Amino acid sequence: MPVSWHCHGSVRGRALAATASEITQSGRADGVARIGAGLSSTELALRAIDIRRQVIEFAHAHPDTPFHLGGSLSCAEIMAVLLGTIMHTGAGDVPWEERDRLVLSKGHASLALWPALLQAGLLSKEDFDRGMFGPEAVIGKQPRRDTSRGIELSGGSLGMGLGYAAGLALAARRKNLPSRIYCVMGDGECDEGSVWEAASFAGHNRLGSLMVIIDANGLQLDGPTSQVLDSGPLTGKFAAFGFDVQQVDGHDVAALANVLTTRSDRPLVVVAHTVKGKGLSFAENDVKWHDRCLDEDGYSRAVAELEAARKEVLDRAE
Amino acid sequence: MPSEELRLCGLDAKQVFGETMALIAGRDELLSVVVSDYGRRLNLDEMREILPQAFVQVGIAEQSQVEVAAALANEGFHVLAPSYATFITSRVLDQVRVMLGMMESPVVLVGLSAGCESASLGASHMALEDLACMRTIPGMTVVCPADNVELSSILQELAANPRPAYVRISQYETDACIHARGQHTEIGKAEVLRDTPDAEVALLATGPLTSEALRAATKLTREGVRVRVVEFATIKPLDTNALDALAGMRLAVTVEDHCINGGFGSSVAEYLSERDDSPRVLRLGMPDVYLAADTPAKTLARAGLDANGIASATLARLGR
Repeated sequence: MPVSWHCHGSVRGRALAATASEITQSGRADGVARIGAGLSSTELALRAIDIRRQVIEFAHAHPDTPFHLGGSLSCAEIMAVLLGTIMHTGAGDVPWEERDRLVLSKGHASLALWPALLQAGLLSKEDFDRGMFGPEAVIGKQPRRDTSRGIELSGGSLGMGLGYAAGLALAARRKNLPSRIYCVMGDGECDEGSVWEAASFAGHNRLGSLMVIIDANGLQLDGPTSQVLDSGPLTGKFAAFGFDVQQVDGHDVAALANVLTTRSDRPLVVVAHTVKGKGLSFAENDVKWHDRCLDEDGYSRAVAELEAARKEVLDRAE
Repeated sequence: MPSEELRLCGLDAKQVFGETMALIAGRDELLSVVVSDYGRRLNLDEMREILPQAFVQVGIAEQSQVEVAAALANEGFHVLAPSYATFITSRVLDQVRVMLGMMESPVVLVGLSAGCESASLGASHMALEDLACMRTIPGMTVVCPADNVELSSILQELAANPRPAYVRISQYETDACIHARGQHTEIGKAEVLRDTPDAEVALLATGPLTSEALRAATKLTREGVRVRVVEFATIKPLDTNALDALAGMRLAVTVEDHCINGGFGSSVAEYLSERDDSPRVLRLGMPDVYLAADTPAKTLARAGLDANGIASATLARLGR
């Protein structure tokens, strides 16, 4: 089975002619322009609210099913920024083979992935209409690998995404592709030892195309991450493994977009400080909303609060 | 001049792995061998000279090994991931479930020093549950070559047509050469190595103990038993046609250097138990305990897995 990964287009052609290390050091030539031409901060903030709205719509449609609402709501801005402005998803003029890859390691946050992929044109309304359960479903409580729809990893078993993403970054280097690999993990997920096997590999190999975003919402199933198994300063840990490290407010779309445009010959970890359950006042920072059913009253309050948040974003933009 | 087959069979299987990788590297630039600090003993230097980028080192980190291997495989590379058999299977079982099972990543896991080849290191290094773990993963191909000719042939086939697979390598003698004439094993097909008209007993063997089964067959023939010997290099998918062909026989004896539970013998028993005209089944394998360290030969003999043990267990089951 021959695999073709030859470049298309003149700008990319020049970039691809460079060595892998030159590419990782300089970054994609058109990266900054693309981000400048992408969605505005207001549009990204609105997309994040749309993602939250869809998250609660999933829960509302299945009132007897507990969903991982807290950790889906906390990463709405991360998803909006990645798929709204940072990533070359392959849906536009970027050749499919050269697309950026998104590895959602914390598959439990899939409810935020689906609307972000819909916004990016990688999922369709028909995919949503096939429901979330059973053999016909495309979307669900955990992602199933389907690269044609931008789903790189089958999720559910935590701690495997970083190693997989590192492998994708290595493959991109070997194929001389300009692709970047984005991996979204949870801070609780960093309890898994496999995360550190992978971090060691990525740092050692200076996989500069690997961009890791940690949705650091401070809570996991059994309680505050600081009490369950204190992950300590994740920045210091990843720095020791050979990563560049950054910290941002994970609900600040401009800050996220800004930090994700940095380029280096080392892999990057962005510790995005977030609020679990963000956007639903009654769910924020409450471990009970790690996974829970959403009743009618909760749904109504959530809709009202998200509408208020939307209005606030629009008012601020004027 | 000995034939290429005899030369191969005279080597350590790890040497054959390295030679085969070098051979593949010369014609397939997509080859990748992802190792977890078990590269030096696999004689990969020649492969690395031919195709340096094929060599990926992850350190002593088998979880990372499977994840990285899966990503490379899904990006189009032809990936083999060798490590100690017990560490590349049971230690990383969840990675294998997700990456090779659910995601169907076409990675070829290679288990080294399987069975009791490393029995001197004790129970931690004996891989006696690896087949049980691997054959329960949906979609996996599970192969146990009986000699180095077969090993090389299978590695080349899987590198050319990758799929989620586990190749189990164990070796107890370096002169076993069942395929001296260079038969190329077809994955999924059992091979009748010896037959007798109106055979009443079938010795069904997998892996290096196939040689012992052949020797046992000689002993049984001397005792007047009409024997067929069938080698199952592939455990999954199981060649059920070869099992159907046992209909009407008195006894099927399975032989493996794996725990008596969950491996090849279990697989055969599961199939035959659901058919009306099946022979009775006698499963020979390693006992359901963690064993003390010893030499491979003594460990196998104690489990009744040398030619004498196989022959006498068969005769006892036949009531002779």
